Amino acid sequence: MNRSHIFIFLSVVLLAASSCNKESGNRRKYSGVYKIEKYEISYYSNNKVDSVFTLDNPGTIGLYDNGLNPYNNERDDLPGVPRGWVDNAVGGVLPVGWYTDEAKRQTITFFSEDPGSGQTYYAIYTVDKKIAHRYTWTYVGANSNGDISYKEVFYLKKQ
Amino acid sequence: MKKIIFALLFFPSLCFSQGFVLYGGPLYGNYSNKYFNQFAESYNNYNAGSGVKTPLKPWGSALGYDIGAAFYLVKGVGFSLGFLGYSAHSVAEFNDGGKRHFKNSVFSPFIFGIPIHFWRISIHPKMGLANCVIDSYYEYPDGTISYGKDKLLNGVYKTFDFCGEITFSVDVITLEHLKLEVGVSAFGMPGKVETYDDGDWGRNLDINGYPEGLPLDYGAWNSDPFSYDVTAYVHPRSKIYYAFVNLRYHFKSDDE
Repeated sequence: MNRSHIFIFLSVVLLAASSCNKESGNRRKYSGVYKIEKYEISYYSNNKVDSVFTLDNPGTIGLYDNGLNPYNNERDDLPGVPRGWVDNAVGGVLPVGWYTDEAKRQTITFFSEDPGSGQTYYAIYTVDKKIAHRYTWTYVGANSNGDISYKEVFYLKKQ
Repeated sequence: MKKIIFALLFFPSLCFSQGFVLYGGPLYGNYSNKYFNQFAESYNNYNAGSGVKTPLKPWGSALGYDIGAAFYLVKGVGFSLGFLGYSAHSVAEFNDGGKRHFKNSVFSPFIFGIPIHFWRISIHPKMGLANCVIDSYYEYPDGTISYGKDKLLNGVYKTFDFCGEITFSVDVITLEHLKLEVGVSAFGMPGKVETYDDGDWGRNLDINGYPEGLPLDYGAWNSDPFSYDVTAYVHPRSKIYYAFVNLRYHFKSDDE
């Protein structure tokens, strides 16, 4: 048994051990500053796209890792409040926090706590990881029939 | 620190081992979770009048992998450490083209075993912990995928469980260091720990009326979610019977 064999064995052990503690791992992987390359809202009628609103390079969004879910701060320099946040009462005058799901990082949730009412509001976005540190965050708004009424997409590149 | 202690615990065994084997390969099998089947049946019944084109089916076919290392302390008997993962997918399709997806992934990052190898035959009992995730998402007719609050069942449902497995395999190709084995395995989880749970605070029953798990009786849950028995959710008790092909590399040849 030579050193390379021992190295391979220890690598297997450490790889297995590192598979644990997904929650903090996900938080670390997601935190950082993202450049928003494009912001797009598609409005639907009868499950078909009716009109599209697009903003190129509207700004950046920073996700800070405060070391404890869900209390991680968000900062951005967007020209307005995203539609998905507005429809869920997230942001505006309230500070915004974020967290990801604890499994596969398929979702990112933005939330705001209202100290006046004691309510917390949440907007859940679907994450799609592309190549070269690029991501999309998608929020779907549905009408009372359950059909899609609009889709808001952030096209991001992690800095 | 824990990782270092863990590695050091195994270090003496490594030094005195009579052989060191790396193995890995794909697996394909039949995965069943009767609790998910119960949910699927109630989901299909509930949606029977809502334009379901293709009802939800049991998970069935699963594809995965098994990778690990084995250490032979005496000739033909040792211990192994590895990881194993597989996933299965079930979809319900609606008349308008929308689809409800349930993708179940099981990943065991720690699976310990006692490989027993004689002539060309191996028997390998294993046990460990498994991380179980159900991705539940809706695909709109235009292909848009959502895990968000727009649909009740969307979410990433997660739990963990103990797992046990026994594999039987035969070496079909034997070279000096490299062997190709084919085999069959039975892998099961008792479901004794906890039900699948969508841990997202934003999709909480008390806050905004979303189920925290997949209800075994979807109709009953919908009729009165707040009185629904909180233990009656899908849990990971399941089994998979699979066939596998593994490549094994022996760092000591059989002749040494």
